[in-house]
Amino acid sequence: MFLEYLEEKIFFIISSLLFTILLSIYLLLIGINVGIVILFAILIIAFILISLLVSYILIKKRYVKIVNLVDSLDEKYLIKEVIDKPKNLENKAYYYALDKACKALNDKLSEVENSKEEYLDFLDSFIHEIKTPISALSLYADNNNDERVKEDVLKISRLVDKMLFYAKSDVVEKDYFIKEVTLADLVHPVLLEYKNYLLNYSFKVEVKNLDNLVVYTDIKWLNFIIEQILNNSLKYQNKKERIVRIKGIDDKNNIKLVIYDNGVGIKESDLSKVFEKGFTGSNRSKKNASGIGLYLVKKLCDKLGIDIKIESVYLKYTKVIITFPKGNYFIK
Amino acid sequence: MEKILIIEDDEIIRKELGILLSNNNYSVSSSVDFFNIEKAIENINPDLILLDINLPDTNGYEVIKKIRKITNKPVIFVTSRNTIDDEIKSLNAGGYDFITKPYNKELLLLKIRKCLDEVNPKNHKELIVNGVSLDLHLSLIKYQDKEIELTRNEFLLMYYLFFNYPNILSKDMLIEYLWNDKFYLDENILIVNINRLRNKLRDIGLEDFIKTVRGVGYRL
Repeated sequence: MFLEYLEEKIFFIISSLLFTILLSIYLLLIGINVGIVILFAILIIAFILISLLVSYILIKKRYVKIVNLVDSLDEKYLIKEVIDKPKNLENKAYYYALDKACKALNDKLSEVENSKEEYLDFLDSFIHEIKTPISALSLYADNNNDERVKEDVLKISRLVDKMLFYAKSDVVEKDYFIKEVTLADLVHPVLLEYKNYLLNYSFKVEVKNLDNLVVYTDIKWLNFIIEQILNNSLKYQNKKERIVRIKGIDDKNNIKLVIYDNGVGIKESDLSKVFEKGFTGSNRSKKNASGIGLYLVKKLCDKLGIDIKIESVYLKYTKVIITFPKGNYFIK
Repeated sequence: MEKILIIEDDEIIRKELGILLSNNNYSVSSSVDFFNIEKAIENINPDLILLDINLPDTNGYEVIKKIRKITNKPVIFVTSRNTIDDEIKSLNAGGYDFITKPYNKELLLLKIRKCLDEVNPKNHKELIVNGVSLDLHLSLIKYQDKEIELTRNEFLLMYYLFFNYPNILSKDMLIEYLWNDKFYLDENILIVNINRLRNKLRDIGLEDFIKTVRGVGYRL
């Protein structure tokens, strides 16, 4: 770093040395003693070195201070507010540039935030509106026992929901209500929704130990999460005897919900990537896979303080384990 | 027959909801006169009201205020926005329950049934068919001086057969009912369970109590 500084000052150093040499030659020419001239030259060079060193130390101090400030700041674009105003002319120019850049960035930021909020509002009312014809269609299909239409209507409805949940996933805390629910409360509505699908494709559904296990969470978000997981379980099936097993486990410190299917499974090399956005698997057909479902699930679980893990053996089974913390210290 | 009043602005939903509920043995009426809802309620005297939150020029919260002035009959709110805000508001406004669009048929019927049962408990302890009684509290089947205990799932099966007597219950309907009660079974498991129940009933001398109606389903 000091070398860098010297490099920066190279013009000053060379001109000082040149000046010293010229002065020495001049002094020698007017007949001054060689010893005195050398001493004089050494003194000048020492003086220059010391002044360089001192100014380096001062600059280094300021440098470190600014770097530390920036590093410790969460929202870096506010840096202009916390650094000292410079006194040096060149630095003033940088300070001016920083000031303008931060202001422009802040303006842009609020613009983006506003438009995002506007978009969310629009999406909200749009989804609200589209639910009316979807409901009408769904009731129509129910009344006319039209399973084919019913299944597609449900699909549309789920996709619309997914869009809303995705849009809202950044602001979970705005629509989030924790209460005491049993695991059955979380799973039952999803199973009812998939009832026809499960029966039509002759899935064996085994549900165990959900009624007595109580957790503290938001039922709506959890329904969505479980729905995404079950959807995958049903979608990626390759067995003749299709099994979905859902059970609750009362552990010492937490409550676990395990959703098992004997479907395609996930390759070991893919397992660590399933929660990544846009990941659709190297083996699965990309049709109807957006790579959003599990990414969203993971994101929501993180926000809700729930742990989620996936175990799988390729071509054999997939097991999703959702772990809820025990106790109600969340709402205390 | 229990009467349900639908307050909803979308015509198709009104119509289809009406068909669905009539098919499930409710008497259905609807009203679009949201500002004079009192009149409709006095005329119809419903046992339960399904109320849409989003109505033109008004909303469900305003309407329920008017309803509450003249009756305490339960109101189930219906909305397409499943936010916590709406849920809290509707329960605060005096709604009994809250259901989101698109209606899950099973869930809707379940909530309506639960609501009507809770508001107006029939208080019966047992159902009796052909001298055989089903104890609803102790999950027992009693016949003459003998009795057998039923498991939860067996009880649910028996309950729907008793409840629908003397009608025939198709396999699909039975499966539907049982799923609603968190007994997730398919046709094969249903048959296995029915046979197991028949064996149990035979032990107390009940031969052919559950009858198979070929190609249709079961009845007592």
